[in-house]
Amino acid sequence: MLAIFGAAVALWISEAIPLAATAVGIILAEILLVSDQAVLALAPQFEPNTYQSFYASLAHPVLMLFLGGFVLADSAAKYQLDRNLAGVMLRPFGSSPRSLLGGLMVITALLSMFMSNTATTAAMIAVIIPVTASLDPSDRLRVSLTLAVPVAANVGGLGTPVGTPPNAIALGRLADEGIRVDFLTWMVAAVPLMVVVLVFAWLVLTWRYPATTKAVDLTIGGAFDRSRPAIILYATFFLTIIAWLSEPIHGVPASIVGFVPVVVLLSSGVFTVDDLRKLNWHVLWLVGGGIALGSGVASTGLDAWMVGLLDWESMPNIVLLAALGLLAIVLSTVISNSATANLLIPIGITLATSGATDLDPLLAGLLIAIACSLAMALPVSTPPNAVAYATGTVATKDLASVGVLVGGFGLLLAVFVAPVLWKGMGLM
Amino acid sequence: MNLPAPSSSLILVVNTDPVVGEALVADLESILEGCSLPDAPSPAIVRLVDGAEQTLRLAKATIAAGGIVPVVFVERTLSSGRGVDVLLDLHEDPDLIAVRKILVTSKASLLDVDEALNRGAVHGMITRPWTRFGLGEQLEAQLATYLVEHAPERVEDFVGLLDGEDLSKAAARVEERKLAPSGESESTHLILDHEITNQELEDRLVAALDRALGHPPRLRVGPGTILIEEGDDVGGIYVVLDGTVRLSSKTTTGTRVLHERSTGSIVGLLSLASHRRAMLRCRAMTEVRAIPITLHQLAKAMDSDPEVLELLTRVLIGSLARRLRRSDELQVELDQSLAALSEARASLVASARRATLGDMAAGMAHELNNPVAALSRAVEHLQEDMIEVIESPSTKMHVNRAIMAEPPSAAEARRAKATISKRLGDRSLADTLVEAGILDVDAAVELVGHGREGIRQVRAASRLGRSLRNATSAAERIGSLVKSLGGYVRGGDGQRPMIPDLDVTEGVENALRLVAHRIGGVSIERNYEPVPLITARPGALQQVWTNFLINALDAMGDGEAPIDGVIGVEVMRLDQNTIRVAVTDSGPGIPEALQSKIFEPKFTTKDGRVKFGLGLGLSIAAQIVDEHHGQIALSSRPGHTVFSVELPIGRSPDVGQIQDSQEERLR
Amino acid sequence: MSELVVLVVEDEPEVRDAIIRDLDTYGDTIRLVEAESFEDALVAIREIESEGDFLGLVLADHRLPGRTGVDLLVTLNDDPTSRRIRKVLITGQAGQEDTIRAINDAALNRYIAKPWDAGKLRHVVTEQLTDFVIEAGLDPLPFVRDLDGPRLLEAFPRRGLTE
Repeated sequence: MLAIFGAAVALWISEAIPLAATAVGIILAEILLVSDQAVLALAPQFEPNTYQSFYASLAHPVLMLFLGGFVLADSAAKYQLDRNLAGVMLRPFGSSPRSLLGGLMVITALLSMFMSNTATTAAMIAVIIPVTASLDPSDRLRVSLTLAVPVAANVGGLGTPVGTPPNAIALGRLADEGIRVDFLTWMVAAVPLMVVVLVFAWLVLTWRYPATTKAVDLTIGGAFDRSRPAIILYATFFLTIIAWLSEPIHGVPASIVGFVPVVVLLSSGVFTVDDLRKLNWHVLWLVGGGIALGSGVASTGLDAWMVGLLDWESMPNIVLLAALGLLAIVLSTVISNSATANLLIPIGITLATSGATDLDPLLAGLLIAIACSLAMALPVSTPPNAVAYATGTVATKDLASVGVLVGGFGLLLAVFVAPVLWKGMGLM
Repeated sequence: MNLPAPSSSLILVVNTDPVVGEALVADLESILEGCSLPDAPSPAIVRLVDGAEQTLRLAKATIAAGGIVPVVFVERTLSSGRGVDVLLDLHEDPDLIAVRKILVTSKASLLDVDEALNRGAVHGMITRPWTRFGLGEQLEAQLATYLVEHAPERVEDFVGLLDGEDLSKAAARVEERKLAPSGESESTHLILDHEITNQELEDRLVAALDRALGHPPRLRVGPGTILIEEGDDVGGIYVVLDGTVRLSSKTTTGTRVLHERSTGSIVGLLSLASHRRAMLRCRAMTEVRAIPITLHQLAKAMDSDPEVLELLTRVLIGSLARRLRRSDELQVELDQSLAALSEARASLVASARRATLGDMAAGMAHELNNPVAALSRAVEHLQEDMIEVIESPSTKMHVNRAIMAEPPSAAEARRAKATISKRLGDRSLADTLVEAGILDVDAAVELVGHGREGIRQVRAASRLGRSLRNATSAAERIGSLVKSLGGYVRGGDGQRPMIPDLDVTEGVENALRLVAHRIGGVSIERNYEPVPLITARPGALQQVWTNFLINALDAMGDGEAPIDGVIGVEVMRLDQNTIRVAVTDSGPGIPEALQSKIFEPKFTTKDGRVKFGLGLGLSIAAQIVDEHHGQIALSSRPGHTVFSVELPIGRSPDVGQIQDSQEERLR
Repeated sequence: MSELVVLVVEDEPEVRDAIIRDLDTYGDTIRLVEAESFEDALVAIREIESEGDFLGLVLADHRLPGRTGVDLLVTLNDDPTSRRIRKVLITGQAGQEDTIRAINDAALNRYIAKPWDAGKLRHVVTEQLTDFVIEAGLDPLPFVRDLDGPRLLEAFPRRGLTE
């Protein structure tokens, strides 16, 4: 299993083959090497998992939740709900550059809580390209506007379980360990952190890139689509979110709620089979591969071996947390956030559940997921960064300085402040 | 020849042309057969014979055998002689006088036939080519007549062909003939006397009137007197004894003279046919002596002397005939002048259009001259000042190099980019270097040492030079187009003077430039010998060359820009006194039948193969060459068509002569 | 790295210079290649292919020596491998017949009359290259700054990058 893990590390970091290929490769390797159907059993001393259980990771309940998020987000984009909502929400922010920048960040973050960070960024950058083009080339507002979008999208992604794949990977691993985290709980834990980081980012951007223009005209979207499918979509969208948030009241898990819009939108023709074909299935597979890797690590005793490597008890929790967070943020700065989460979350949660430390598994999962989302110092760190960089308005140094500041601040907050807060709120 | 069965009916066809004869026989047989009962034999036999002798022999033999010969068809022109003679021979034979004789002829003239007609030797005439229907009618009528008169017992044989009506009509005709006076009239009527002169007639008429009316008074009027006003009631007639009377009519375009010499000696008689209203105004042109005769007097004279009526009729026919002839002449004159008018109008329209186009082109050429001059001067000044302003010697060098150097072809530029980028490993840098005019790898490598900024500097300098070069060449091109256009426009203007020292080759080159936009894929093969300068109108000659070239291009491209082919342009010295310019094309050629007409005015070929560019034709080219005392010629076979012009060198035709010849042409 | 290429086919060097100069505003991601006739254009296209670049747009003058620009565009349209290339005719004089043929048989995308306006020329080229990038499924990000960014970004999420 260590070999599989090592190969996964190598492939995910090098991206020699597509990330999703590595993910399914892991599942195949686990079935062939460590399942009950193993052709070449490498860890015979352990009770092998059934091969079905490895396949099942491709249909893990968390993936169903994600699938629901994808379908909702794609439908919203299809009927321009995202832009029109953005337009409505942007209106109160007026036209002064500072408040407009803030408004842009709030909206981007809100959208990316429910849609993919990449789609949100592409949509919002498309909207601001004409605005930056109309500004004086020397006006640094062009840079701040362009930077604000990927920063807010990355940060916004950590706000909900469906915001970004690392969240799902953490939830999946925790669920396999018997720790259920509902939608609202995640938000209660993550949103305050998100808000503080956003405010900090806003301050950094307005400080580093002062606008020379006095007023900016930014209008997004147009009239809401009033066709029947659009109305069905609006209703489904808001009812699903309400159902996710109200889990403590009705007790239906988010992953089951998330599957309802898939059925409703597909059967009402709002979301067509053609749209279904265009879904980013490979992201689901990548997450599935991560979950399979985690369960493999747990079931083959690799966890115990890793736990035995070090004398963890001698290390204060806070140091351990800081080390995990730092590793996650550095690794995901250069490789995909999801791949990082796939590699680190099994390790972190294993450490927490092994009893070798008194680390709370939820805390470890949350922290690693959040750290992955905070990595945004390079154009290659995340697709949102790549999109912003592609406009040619921002240079690598702009991304690096803002990314390091915001990411570093976020990480400090997550390691030193958030756990205290979460404990205080009784989450763990 | 076998004889027909005894007691049969025989119809003979006399013709020495077997083709026509057989055709007539066949038609007659089919008419007879078509009318006989089914299975019954044809009621008559038709035979083709070739002359009088054979006809007589066969007819007599048949009659002798108890048969009949009801009808004979005789061709008017036999190789053995006149058909009429055959008819007369038949007519003079007592056995055959009753045979119905029909003359088959291709012309309706009565000449030569009159004798036979007078003697009753012709019963019918049909013309060639005949129609089945006409032939059938003729056959039925003659058969019926013969049968009723001479062989009523055989009527039954022809029951399918002849019905009761045919027979009763035939019976009526036979009766009429019996009643008609026989013998030939010997008296001559005045009306038919063609030997009597007008003067004699008039004299006799005046004498007869004098006799009948007791010498009516004479009227003498001076010139200008109106005898009869158009539209008035005429009380009588005038017999003009001497002097000239003019008949005229008022029309919308004024008074028209209809008759003067054709008036005739009796005036006013025709009005009787139009309720006594005078149709024309009648005015004496000289002193006129006439006898006015009232209608009452006229009636009295006619009553008392029948000769008056006859004379009057004769004179009237004469004057009517004269007026009719005059009217025909008027009609022909009218047609001619109408045709001339429309021709004149068309040529006027065409020349007006050419003049308008010419004016427009001339105006444009003139208006373009100023901006073109300004443009080319400005570019040159820009160049001078730029060199002055630029301080860096290397920049100056690059600007100058770009101005002077022939720009690389697209393929060369691509090759240079590929080579340099291979050496430097940087494609965008290689592109920049080539744009900077650096095509050589070593020069590129050296320039890279100057850094990005240095390369950009060189590129800017190089582009500057290239832009100046492009602007200069563009201005030059517009200038030369304007010049060509000006030369072309002047060509249409015959007023331009001859110039004594014209370079023909330059004119040909100008024409080539003018049609350059249409040359397409055609290759031009120039073959210029040095030739002496000649005296000519440059624009006019250029127009000739342009026409030749456009013709050649049209012929090869079939209206579109041709994609291949060769046009040869040749200027050579033919001999001591002549130079020759020829334009050869590899087009499909001009059909032989059209070659002779191609220089005639208004020539167009039906399929539009030969078209004239810019509204001018080869006829004008020919005219221009004529003016220069040259020769224009065409020789054409598929794939090789040559239009050539030979122009005299030494002789300078003077301008007046040319204008004369032009005026002559206009007339 | 593979680049996007615009092929400019024009026989008169002055005019070719002017077109190239007007299109010089694009960054390094878009390369301009020049050719001067039908045959030369085919050679240039082979060179572009052998270098592994994408020919995105052919900007052809109508009047060329020998076979015309319309012939070139029709030839490209008849070949399935080059059918996707966007085709623009830039011309001073084309008969109605030629224009009809270009639209029907060459699937002409745009028609630019001489003398052209630099802004409009760039606009057409940008629009056509953007269409090409989207239709050919190229990664749109490198072209966002030079071409129509908003439209390219709309196509971008479908590329399915992993966060």
